[in-house]
Amino acid sequence: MTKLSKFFGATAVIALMAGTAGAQSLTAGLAAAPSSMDPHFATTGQNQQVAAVLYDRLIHIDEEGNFAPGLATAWEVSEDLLTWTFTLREGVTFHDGSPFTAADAVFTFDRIPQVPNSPAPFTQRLAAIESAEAVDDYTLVITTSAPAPGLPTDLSTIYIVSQDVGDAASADFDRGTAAIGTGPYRQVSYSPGENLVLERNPDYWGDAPDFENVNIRFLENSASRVASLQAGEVDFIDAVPPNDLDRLREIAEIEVIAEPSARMVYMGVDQLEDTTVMIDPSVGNPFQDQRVREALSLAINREAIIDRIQFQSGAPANQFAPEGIFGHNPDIPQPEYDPERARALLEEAGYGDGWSMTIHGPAGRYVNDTDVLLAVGQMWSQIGLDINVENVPANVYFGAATDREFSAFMVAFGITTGESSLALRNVLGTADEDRGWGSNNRFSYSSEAFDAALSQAFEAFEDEDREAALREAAAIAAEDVAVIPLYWEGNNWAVRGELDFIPSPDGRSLITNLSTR
Amino acid sequence: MVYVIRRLLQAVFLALVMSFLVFTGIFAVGNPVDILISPEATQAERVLLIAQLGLDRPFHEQYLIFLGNVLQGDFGNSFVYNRPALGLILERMPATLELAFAAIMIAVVLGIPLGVYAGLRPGTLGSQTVMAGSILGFSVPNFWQAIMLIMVFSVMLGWFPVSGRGEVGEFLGIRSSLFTLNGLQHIALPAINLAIGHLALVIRLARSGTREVQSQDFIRFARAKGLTEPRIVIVHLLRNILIPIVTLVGMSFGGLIAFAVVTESIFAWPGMGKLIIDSIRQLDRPVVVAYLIVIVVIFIILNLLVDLLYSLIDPRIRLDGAKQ
Repeated sequence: MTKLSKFFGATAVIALMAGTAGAQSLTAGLAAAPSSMDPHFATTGQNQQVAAVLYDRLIHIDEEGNFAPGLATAWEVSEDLLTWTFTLREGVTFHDGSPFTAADAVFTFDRIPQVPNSPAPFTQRLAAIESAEAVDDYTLVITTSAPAPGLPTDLSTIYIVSQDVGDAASADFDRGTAAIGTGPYRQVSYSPGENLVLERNPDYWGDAPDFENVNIRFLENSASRVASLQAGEVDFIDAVPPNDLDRLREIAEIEVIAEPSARMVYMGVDQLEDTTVMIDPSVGNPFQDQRVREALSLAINREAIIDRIQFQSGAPANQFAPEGIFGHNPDIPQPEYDPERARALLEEAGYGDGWSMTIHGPAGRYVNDTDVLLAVGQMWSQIGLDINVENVPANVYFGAATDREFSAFMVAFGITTGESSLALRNVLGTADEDRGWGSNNRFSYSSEAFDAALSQAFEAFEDEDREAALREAAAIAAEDVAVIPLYWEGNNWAVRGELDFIPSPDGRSLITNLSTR
Repeated sequence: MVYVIRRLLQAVFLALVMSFLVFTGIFAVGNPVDILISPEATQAERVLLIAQLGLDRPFHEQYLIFLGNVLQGDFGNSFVYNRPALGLILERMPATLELAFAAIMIAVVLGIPLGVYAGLRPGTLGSQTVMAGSILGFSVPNFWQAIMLIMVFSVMLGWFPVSGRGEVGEFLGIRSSLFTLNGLQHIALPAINLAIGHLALVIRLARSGTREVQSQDFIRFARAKGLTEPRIVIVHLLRNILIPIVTLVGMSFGGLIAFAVVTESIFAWPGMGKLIIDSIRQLDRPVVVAYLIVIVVIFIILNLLVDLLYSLIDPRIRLDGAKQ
């Protein structure tokens, strides 16, 4: 008994000490936990936003979205555009004290294809590399088989690990034994689904991080995430539900940061054959007619969706890349809401009497997705269609969409690389397994002009040419109404008063973007 | 002994049936690759992943490979976390066990006295309050209770933390957050939230048992003999109302372990319940199958314990198959 009470006493003291650690420690509540601490397991946002504070890349991206020196201080490409020479930063040490050299970069490139079972592999970001060689400790030479203008972009997402990692499995990163990076913070402990504890890296080569200790808690339930912030248990949360934004704004010690993301929610409509599964064969497939697709787009009141359903979080979309993402085309007109003209267009296309169909969307995958789909259904009913709305659990939904069981359905695509080429290639490119195009083109949009413009973007070496080609491709898709864009989802964060949070262009909840006032 | 062995064999059979049902079920729901794979992945990467996870093989082959691996103690790697499924579950089990234990203790320690009181003094104001409270207890939805508990006790009053598991202490070699003050503060609200429904059931069972037993001959005889009221209640009455309560507690405990999902996700409790729901959502078959097999084993062990307890409480009950 006395033993036990002593024990209670001791832990109470520890608890008190933890409480008074003070301004230098940070507790964050993030909605999405990483699937693995292995920085090479998956390119998903929740994995990368923790990897990015533990590991550096050769090339970093600054707040404006431009390239900045990371572990490489300079890079140049040979005249034949095939050989890249990177000068590496000297005097950088890993968290275990060993020095960073070119051999670690080569090791990282070799390790990535060896990571098994990855649902979102990094391999395509290394696809251009034919060989990588450490000429000396601080010179890395990369040879590509064809000119690879996207190499710096690709390398800006490759997390360099120490070669001491050896043949460690993903689980060794969760345990922490293999988690050796050069980043501003060091991994102290990780409990899957519970929390990740970090410590400042005192030897960091860049700006010293603001916090001595960081505890990232994974709070998946949005009500308890918001309550934790209100109770002062966490200093920072992400993915604030839009419904709570106004309430939090009114609290003096809490500040809300809301910005549109680069994740576009859209309706895909099946354009493959003369008939489509949800519409009576006697009607045919109206979606093959560009005028019909335009009519469906004109019928949607995007402002109302943002205003009423998303509580002003997000922005109406007209293309995959929002402003600030490479490939954004400012000349594409803002989508209008004009049900009159939509009806006239349907009439002109020979569908004046409308048709009846069921439209589909996932349940609980995107913010307020069921309400948005319902609104889309009602807006399409107003131009004379007979619409049924069906929401399907996400684990059934995406498989069914791939199996072409839907005719008009809601999907989102988030740009994570800072430029639009992957979105355009995977979602709108004509499906072609050999080329690796159109893996997400579940509605079979196909346009020769679009494919040609996009091919140019992949071949162009100069940034200007690439951007021009991406813009042209985006313009063709918009002209064709390849998909019916709805809106860019909002990213919402909230911090307690004494902190500042500056969102980065990729919309991630990076601990390094937080600072004390 | 024969009895115990027979029950364990039953467990193996049940686990086998369960694994087949779950395997078939998830196979019917859809292809995990469609939900796992990143929209940025190319077709080639998709094909590679399908092959690596073995999903390109026919169903019976996948199942037989799985069974073969299980016989060697390998439940496969989680599709989502890329780690051994069983390890993932066992790692989270202590958090769930301690939460379920705390909840069941609250239900029993508060429930039995309140129920017996309500049974002994029916019609009094106190008894009516207890009974009305118990109706509220199991009719108010669990998740709403949880959010109200957080709003009142954490956000408004600031007495308890909103969510998470507190510090873990070690006592007699067991690591649990029940052994630290900080841990107890963290577990209080989720345990109460989990306990309320079961507390209500225990109260009702204890009350009806008390009313039934109270009018029986042996109680009257004990009274006539002049035994004190505490002795009548504790020794004679309690022992005779315990059988249904032990059954309920046994089954409830299993249910609390297996399906504390709502409480665990609202209070961000790092237990198994949250894991299973995420895994079902993402069709993470190895985790779902391993989890349900673990649960089958837990239920069978609990059933066995309940049966053994019966014969302790009431010596008239003989275990089926045991030698007289």
